[in-house]
Amino acid sequence: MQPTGKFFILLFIALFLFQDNCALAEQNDETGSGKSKISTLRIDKDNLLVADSCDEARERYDEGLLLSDDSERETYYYQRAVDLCPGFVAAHTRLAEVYKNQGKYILSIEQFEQARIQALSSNQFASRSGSRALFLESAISLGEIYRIQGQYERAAQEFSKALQMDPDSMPAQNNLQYGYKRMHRYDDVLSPNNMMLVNALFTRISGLTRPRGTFRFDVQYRTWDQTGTLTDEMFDDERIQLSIPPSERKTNVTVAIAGIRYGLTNDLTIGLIPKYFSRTLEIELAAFDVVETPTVKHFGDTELLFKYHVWGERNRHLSVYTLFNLPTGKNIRVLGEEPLTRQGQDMDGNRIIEYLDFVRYIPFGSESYDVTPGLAFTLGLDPIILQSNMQYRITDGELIGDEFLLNGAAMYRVNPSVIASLEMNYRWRADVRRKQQVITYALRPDFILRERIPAGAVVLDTNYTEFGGHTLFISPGIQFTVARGVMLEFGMQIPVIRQAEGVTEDIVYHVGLSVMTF
Amino acid sequence: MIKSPHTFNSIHKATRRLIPEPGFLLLCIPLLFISSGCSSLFFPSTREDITVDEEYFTIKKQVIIADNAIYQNNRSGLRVRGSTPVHVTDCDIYQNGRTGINLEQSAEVTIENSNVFKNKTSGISTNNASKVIIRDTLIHQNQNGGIRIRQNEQAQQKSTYVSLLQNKIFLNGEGGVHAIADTPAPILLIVSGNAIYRNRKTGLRIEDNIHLTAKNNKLYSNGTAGIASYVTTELPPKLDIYKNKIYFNLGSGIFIRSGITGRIGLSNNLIYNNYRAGIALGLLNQAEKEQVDVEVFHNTIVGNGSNVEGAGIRNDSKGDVMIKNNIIAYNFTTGIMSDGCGGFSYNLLFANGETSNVKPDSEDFSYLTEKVQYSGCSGRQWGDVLAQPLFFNPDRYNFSLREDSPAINAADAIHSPYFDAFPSTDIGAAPFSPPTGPTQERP
Repeated sequence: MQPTGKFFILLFIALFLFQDNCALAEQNDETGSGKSKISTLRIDKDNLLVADSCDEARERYDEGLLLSDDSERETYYYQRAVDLCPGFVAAHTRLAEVYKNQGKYILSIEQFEQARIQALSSNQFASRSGSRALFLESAISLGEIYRIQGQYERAAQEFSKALQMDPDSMPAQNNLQYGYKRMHRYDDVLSPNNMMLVNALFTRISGLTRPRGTFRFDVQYRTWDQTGTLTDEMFDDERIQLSIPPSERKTNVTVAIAGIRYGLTNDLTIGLIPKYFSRTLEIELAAFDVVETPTVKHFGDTELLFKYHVWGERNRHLSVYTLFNLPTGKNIRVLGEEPLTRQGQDMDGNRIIEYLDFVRYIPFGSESYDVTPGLAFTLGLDPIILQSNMQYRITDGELIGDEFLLNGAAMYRVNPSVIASLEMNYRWRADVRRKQQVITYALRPDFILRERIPAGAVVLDTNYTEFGGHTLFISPGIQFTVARGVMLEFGMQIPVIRQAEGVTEDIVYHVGLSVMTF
Repeated sequence: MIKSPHTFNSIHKATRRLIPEPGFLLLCIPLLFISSGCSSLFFPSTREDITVDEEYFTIKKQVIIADNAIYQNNRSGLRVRGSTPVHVTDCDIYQNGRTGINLEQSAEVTIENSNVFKNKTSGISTNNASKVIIRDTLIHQNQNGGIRIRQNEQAQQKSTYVSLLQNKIFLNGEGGVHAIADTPAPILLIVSGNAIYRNRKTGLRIEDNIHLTAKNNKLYSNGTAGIASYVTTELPPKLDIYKNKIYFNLGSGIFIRSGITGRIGLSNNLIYNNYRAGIALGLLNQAEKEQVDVEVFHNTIVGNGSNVEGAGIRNDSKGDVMIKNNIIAYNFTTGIMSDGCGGFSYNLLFANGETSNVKPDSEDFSYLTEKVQYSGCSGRQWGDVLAQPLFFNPDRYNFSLREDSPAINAADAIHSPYFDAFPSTDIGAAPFSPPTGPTQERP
């Protein structure tokens, strides 16, 4: 091999070891062992000069560390260290820190940049977990410098970088929030951690009241199938009892609920909660061999909310409330779209056309001014918030019966923009008497008593009892913060205990959107 | 009198100095057993004097150890027992197998202008010592903490008097200073003018029967709290913590799980940018039986907290806590978080917590913004001011007040010997400049 070639090979090895030594020196510093492993390296005699330089740099660095007083003398030691061993990242970092503490911000920034460059250029350093800590520390320190200089935007960038590297970095969290406040960017300050302002999906009334002059809007969409048994013992009229075969009443219910709440005073919230229903009935008419599925839409009752914050401290709040029922919903008479017809014969054997127009009454409201007193409680145990309420609806027992609700919700913040919730919703309903109209056709002897009903269509107005009972739902849900104060929510109510009689629901699906103003 | 020299490896730069009084020895040896001989000096109670300081902690120089380098011994670098006064000065004590300086059984020792570092356990440890003054000394990079002060049942009814003055205590493997006295006799601990920083755990931690006077210190960048107070026995520490600058600590600025106010309480401290609460009283959300009866007056508490915890002042204790005349601003989660929503008045609060965008810079605080200042409690208390404090330059951590600050002349008078002597009509900490520790350069 030519001498020139040997020279370049040796030079290459020397450079390689030079980088190794400096990187290892940094590693030793980070572990805090204070013992250099450089002596264990295999150092070629041709590279002794480089190794000695980094050894000496290490000594200077230690001397500076012994001072740790941000003095000029400490600065000198680190400066000497980086002069001797430019790849000595820890010395760059510490020098930058000292410059920062001395108020020499430009020099400090330069040194932090150097530390980053040297760390990136060292493969060994970059592969170590310590590199992350270095970059984190560097970002925080740079952010602090920009903060001190009043450059909040740049500071925020650095702290955001730091949080990307370590979301739990407390200095980064602290300084970023401070910067936002100083920039008057309070929208950024208001993190979703303010969980006390969150409502559960089905336990919607919380122990908190709205601040004075602020609104909360929400829109909910729920849909479910429900089934009601229809048996003869439900009816008062014994003629119906004998003529109605047991059957099921299936209904698909969709309801849109729009709520608006306003803080009248700091402790008094009023709200208006109108509802709009769409019900699709599935009516099997065995006599005509058809299944009617009429859909009827109408407003339900509207609730007027008065909530008063009776007690609260820190994370515990208690409110009493009353829901006044405004009877905007009616007992809707549902008819088939067209009269049902079929060919038949009268008692004399003459051919006739039988027709039937079925009638159902669907209560969209109670048609009375009911009152529902309740109690709501909220407890924040960050990151969990517990919310519960109970209420009793007092009715006249017609159309809509008394109802007791006991709701409890636990919400957990999965991450800053996602809240998972689990609720238990208990409901007891009283029996209720509803009126019903039955139209029968006299020619069907199995329907009615022959001797008491004349031929042709017969209309019977009667009442029946809709049985109540106990129902328990388990309700998982999830809420997403899509913008400040705007939450999108999805959930379902799964009935785990259903009432034995009367109307029972299947799974209730829920989608909602809520918007809060501050 | 020397009883027996202990093992040692090396003494460097040994010199001898005779003290003025005849008949006393000057010795330069690394480890000493010194028998007791002098009766205890009388020390007035620190609680009874508002200007208590090192003047009460003077020890006659009877044995002087000066200008030594004591290092790499298998056990302690220097061990002192008995009440013969010992004066250690200008020594470098480092890399010893155990404690750098170990003071035991009625020892009366002054350590000054020394450098105690990189010892395997504590830099300086006192165990039932009688009187200890550590002054102008660097104590750093010791693996088990800077200074450990202990008094146990062997001390019987004798108190330990410890005075730490103008030291720098930094980069120690555990806390900076840790004092424990689980005896009826208290440790009277004065910590004044020190810089305690970058220690792995708490800067200054006390437990049980300690009478702490901490003033004019800088405590920063420690791994947990700046100052912490605990109790494991029935006697909680007595606390006079004032005129300190406490910042950049990863825990709370001051954390008091148990403690009672001494003469002054927690006053005139500047507490900022600690990454938990500025002042935390009791465990977070866990009111316990430990006694926390403290007065928190005239502090400036700014920009503390993070997602973990971040009230300006958090009181989760069931004790008798008074919070008055403090400036509490820019803290992370809330201003005052007080169990029961009471016990505070005449504080200035501003931009604490997630204040939302409703005119936080005006006096027209929205209800929600106001509520956040008090961690959900409704409304301000008597004399509270909710307005921008108008610091001179908070970005540069200069929290002195501008002339037009609403904190000026807004304080309520506090009647106590200390505040009668040093009255302040302004809310917040009175301006002060804590010393920075030893100024002389080490060789």
